Amino acid sequence: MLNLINTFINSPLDQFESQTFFSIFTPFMDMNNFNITTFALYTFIVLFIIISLFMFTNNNNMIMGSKWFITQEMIYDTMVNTIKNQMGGKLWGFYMPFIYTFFMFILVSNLLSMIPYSFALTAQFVFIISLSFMVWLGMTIMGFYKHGLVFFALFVPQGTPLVLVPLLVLIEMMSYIMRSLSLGLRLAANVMAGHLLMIILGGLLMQFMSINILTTILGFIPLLIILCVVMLEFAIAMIQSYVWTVLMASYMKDVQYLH
Amino acid sequence: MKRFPTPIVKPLWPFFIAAAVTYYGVSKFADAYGNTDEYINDPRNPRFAKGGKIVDLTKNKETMEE
Amino acid sequence: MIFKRALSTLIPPKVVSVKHLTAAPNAKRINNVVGFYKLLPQGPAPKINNLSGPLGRYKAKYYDGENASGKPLLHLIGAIVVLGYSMEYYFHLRHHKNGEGEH
Repeated sequence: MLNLINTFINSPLDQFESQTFFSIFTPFMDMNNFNITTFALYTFIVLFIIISLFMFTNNNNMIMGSKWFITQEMIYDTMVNTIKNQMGGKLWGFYMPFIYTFFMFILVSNLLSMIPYSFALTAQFVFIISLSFMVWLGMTIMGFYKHGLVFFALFVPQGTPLVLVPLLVLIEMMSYIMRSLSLGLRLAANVMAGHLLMIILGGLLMQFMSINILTTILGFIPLLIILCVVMLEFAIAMIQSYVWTVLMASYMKDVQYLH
Repeated sequence: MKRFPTPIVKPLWPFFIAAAVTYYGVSKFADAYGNTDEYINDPRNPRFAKGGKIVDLTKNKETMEE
Repeated sequence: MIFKRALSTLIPPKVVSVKHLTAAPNAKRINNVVGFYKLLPQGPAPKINNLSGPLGRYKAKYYDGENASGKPLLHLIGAIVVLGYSMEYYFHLRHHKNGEGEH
């Protein structure tokens, strides 16, 4: 008899574990940075998907792409409108490719992680928070390079009474520094919580349904609820990538134009 | 194929610096965290693959059995 | 009275006819246009593929022109499930058979 439990992941946290397939050892220097892990494998899969979405769908460089190209056009159009609305001014075009790259990467890796037995790239806290810290640090460097010390004007909202300025600067600075964490934490925590929720609910339901025939039939009612949770997770996968984009564009606006 | 000469280095150089800084920082942090008492004898610690020995922590000897 | 005169030039309307077209001074331009359209390639467009090898064949089968379909998504899902399950089996599941034992 087929043992269903054995086809299921035993620990809900197993899915986030990354394994090393291949690594180089030298006695001279630390080569751990070049290990091929599950993480690297899935990064390459995401890269291949994104490249194929562009290379395969352009209908051999004709004026009109194939039907597949509509998805690309829609994503591109959405991104252009979002970034234009968020940033305003004239500089949005310089940063649109950068933000678009982030959107595509997060969207594709989020949706890829929704496939059963897949690996959630965006639930890796170290990676995502490094990414958001990188974005934040780059923007801070850019702000200081562009505005010099005037950059600190970002921390004083317009029309503040002079008495409140020290307090507000403190609060605004805290919130500005916390952006580096919150941008990534929002994404990674959402994705990780979603995947844990799905797998825990699924595991409980599987145990419930494997008791006897009656519970198997009864189990279809909670199965519908789990289906709703899965649909919610799909929505979260898309919404979170969009949220990252909107926030990144608005942070970029803060840095470029100060208010 | 049509070429689109988008400037890359000119608007994005702060992010390249930031990426290098972050990479260096996270790498240092990972090394430092791997050498704490909690993870120095963890079987996943990469120094075991290079033939590292189990460090005798006088405080808690039961971790040696792993 | 100007209004009436303007109306009288409008009615009856000038209807485009073959005589007008051929006698008109821009007939030569129309001939050019006709000649241009005669030069254009006719019949169904030739099938081209700027990718060769297995990827090119896959592209021609599932992405190009009328063949565009959602099947690549199903293929991707199938491939990821097979890959992910075999990795999961290799690293975890074979270590605890019959669902017993904590990780």
